[in-house]
Amino acid sequence: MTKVAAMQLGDARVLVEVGASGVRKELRMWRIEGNRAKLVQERQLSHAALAIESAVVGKTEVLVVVTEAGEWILLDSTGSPQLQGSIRLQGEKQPPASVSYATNTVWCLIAAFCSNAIHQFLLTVDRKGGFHLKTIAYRVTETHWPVALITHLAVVRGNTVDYAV
Amino acid sequence: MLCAAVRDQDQTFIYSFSLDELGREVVKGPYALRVAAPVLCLFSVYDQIIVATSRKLLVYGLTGELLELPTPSPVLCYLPYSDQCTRILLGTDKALHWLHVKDKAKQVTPATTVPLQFEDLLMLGSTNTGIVTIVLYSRETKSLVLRINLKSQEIAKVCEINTEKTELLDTFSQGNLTFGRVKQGNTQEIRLWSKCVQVLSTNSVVLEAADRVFAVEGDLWLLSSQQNSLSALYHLTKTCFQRSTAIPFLESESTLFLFTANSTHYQVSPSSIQICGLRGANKCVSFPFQVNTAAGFISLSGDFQVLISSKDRLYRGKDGKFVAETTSPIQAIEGMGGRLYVLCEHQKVEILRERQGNWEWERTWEAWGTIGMLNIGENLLFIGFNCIEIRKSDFSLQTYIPIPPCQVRKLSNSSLFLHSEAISALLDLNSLTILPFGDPILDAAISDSTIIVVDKAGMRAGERTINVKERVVAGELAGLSQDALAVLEKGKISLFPLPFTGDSNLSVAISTSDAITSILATHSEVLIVLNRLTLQLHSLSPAPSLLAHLSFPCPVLSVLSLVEGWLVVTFYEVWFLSPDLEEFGPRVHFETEMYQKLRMAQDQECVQELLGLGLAEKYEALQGVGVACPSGLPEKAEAVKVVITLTDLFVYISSWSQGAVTTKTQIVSCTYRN
Repeated sequence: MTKVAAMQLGDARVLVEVGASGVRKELRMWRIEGNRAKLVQERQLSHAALAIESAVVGKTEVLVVVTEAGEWILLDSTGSPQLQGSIRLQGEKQPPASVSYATNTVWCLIAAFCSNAIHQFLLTVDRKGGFHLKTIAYRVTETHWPVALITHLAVVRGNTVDYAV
Repeated sequence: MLCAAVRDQDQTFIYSFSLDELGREVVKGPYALRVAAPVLCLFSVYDQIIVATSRKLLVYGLTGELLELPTPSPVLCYLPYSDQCTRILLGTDKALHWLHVKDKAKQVTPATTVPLQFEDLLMLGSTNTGIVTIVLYSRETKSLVLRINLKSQEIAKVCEINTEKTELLDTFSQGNLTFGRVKQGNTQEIRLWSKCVQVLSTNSVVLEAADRVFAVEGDLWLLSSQQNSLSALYHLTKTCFQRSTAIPFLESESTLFLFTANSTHYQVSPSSIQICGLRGANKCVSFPFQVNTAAGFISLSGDFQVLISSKDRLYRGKDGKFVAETTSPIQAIEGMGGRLYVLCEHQKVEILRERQGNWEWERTWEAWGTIGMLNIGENLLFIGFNCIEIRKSDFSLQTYIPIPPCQVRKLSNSSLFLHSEAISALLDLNSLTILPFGDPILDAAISDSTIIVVDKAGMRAGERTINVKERVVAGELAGLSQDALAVLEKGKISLFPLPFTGDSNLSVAISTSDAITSILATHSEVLIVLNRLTLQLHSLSPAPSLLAHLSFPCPVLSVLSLVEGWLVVTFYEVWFLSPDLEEFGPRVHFETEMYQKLRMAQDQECVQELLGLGLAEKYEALQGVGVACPSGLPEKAEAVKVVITLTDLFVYISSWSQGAVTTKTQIVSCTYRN
């Protein structure tokens, strides 16, 4: 499972790929300069990465990597970790089955998890880099979500698209 | 307001809801909308939710209206960017399309075709002048960076990015560093990572084609299989493999032997010897004879000499001067204690001693059944077809080690490399254990206590990196159950709970007073710990505890886990052990010595033989195959193959004569289970 993100972080335009390859949980970063692309970073993560997304935390553009162990790692344009958080899903041992992302005006990042057949989770990162976990378990009783997974998440917008620039 | 695609078994629903600043759901969205096909992309614009499925785009209004828009080919991805909120880029198979979203009459129009298949569309940057740079990402091939002028709709290639999938073939760690053999396309590299995961890409080494490897004083020498010549020299430092630019030897002739002593390399070819000092001194001596059998070296009073042989004559390597003559053609030469031990054909060892500069015959020793000879420390190793005898300089027997038929080469003063088509293994002379490599390999060498092997793909340090100094098999795993994993590491056994959590750590450690040679997890969650003469059974539930400590009169070779207990195989006997430990005794007793560790893997040759004898059905429950041999090997010995199935044990006897199997065959069968 591989996730990829491309973005302009400061003056650098980078392509970042995360995922698990064999026993190695890898992150690769290429820097695009002019008409050349160069592999500038290759690192092993402690756990397989499920997703990567760009975000602005405070005033800093960062890459947010989420691993299957619930770790959130914020990387700068060189691929160096800037901030690392970890949220354990309450009472759950299994890693999230799916992750997807959206942003809105309040939160710089929203992630939807369905970690198991019991709860739905929403995970958010505020603009100060704080991590928040929201359980929306009552959905379970109203619908048939216990066996469902959130596969995609988007913010309903007026005259712009998700992640609009 | 958020919208979410939720997959519920084989159906997908679109939900929407709102969150406040605390993340609470404040407004329940409209209704759950059922989508017939799996959702590929979900995005929103103009208060509409656009759902991409493989064949069409579904546009939902907040009041529930629905517009279906067919796509020319399955949508794979979309670019999260809108050009003035008028159009969105969609990716399909080798093509880009615009989805026009501003107008009520939404439509899809082609943008361009691209020369590769891609999996994702990514935004890399944009300018105020209406130029966007995007990445067409592919993990199977290279990715492509394109520049799109939104006004003129011109699309230009910026560059390619080599995102081709890398495959990590194997890794090993040394200190704080991890080496990995990485395959990307047709290229293989050894890459290096430190613990802090920073790649040292400049130290990557492209592998050479080779089938022999020598490790001498920190250098790795690779011998090419194709040219049969020295092809590369690597220097193994504590941080990396580094290819040496200066190869001191010429690559003119095939290399027969390679020695290093006193900081000098000796490369023996069929008609010459090259002697290279590490400081650049290089000397080549040509011989008027053909070196075709053996070479050896001896150190006398600090004077190091390489001796080479041609048929039954011995010559001095440094100048080709005649040294001595033997009674029959020479097979191997070893120097020890001021004497020269020359293994000759007809299984004789002729011992020569230097007197006043001349080598004189001292005595001859009959070495029955010997096909090779090695010097290890103060002992001589005599290699036979099925065993290695370790003898002192006076030929008194110290011990012997059963081995499978194979070639034997010295790796270090405590380890031998065993090699045949059937087995590639390390023989640790300290523990007298055979440690097989996982995959077939061509050759092995030891450098800095790390085993380096070459296989058809190139050079690697095996998945099982064996620390020879500590005599430890690192990372041997035994899966106990779905709840725990046992790992033999650094002389103790650690139990790890499964599945691993972020902060999972060792929960229990079992250590024994003796060096642990092997561990075996059984069906009843009993862990068997093998030492040389003892066997321990540890119960793992409810808490780890020692169930039994059993001693055997001779070395334990292996333990087979059966449905009803265990079969313990020693050199002389096979013992049966019931789960309640009451029924313990030599249920099957051989009048023979076991000569090879019983294997769980099927011995194909043996299978074929038994199939021919009408015992095919028994093989369905094959548990192991081994080889036994009566005491005293020599000229005519009987080799005994042991085949164990779930219910029966066959002893299959063949007669040997000088290594050739005769037609004499006998099958003995007994039932060892109730």
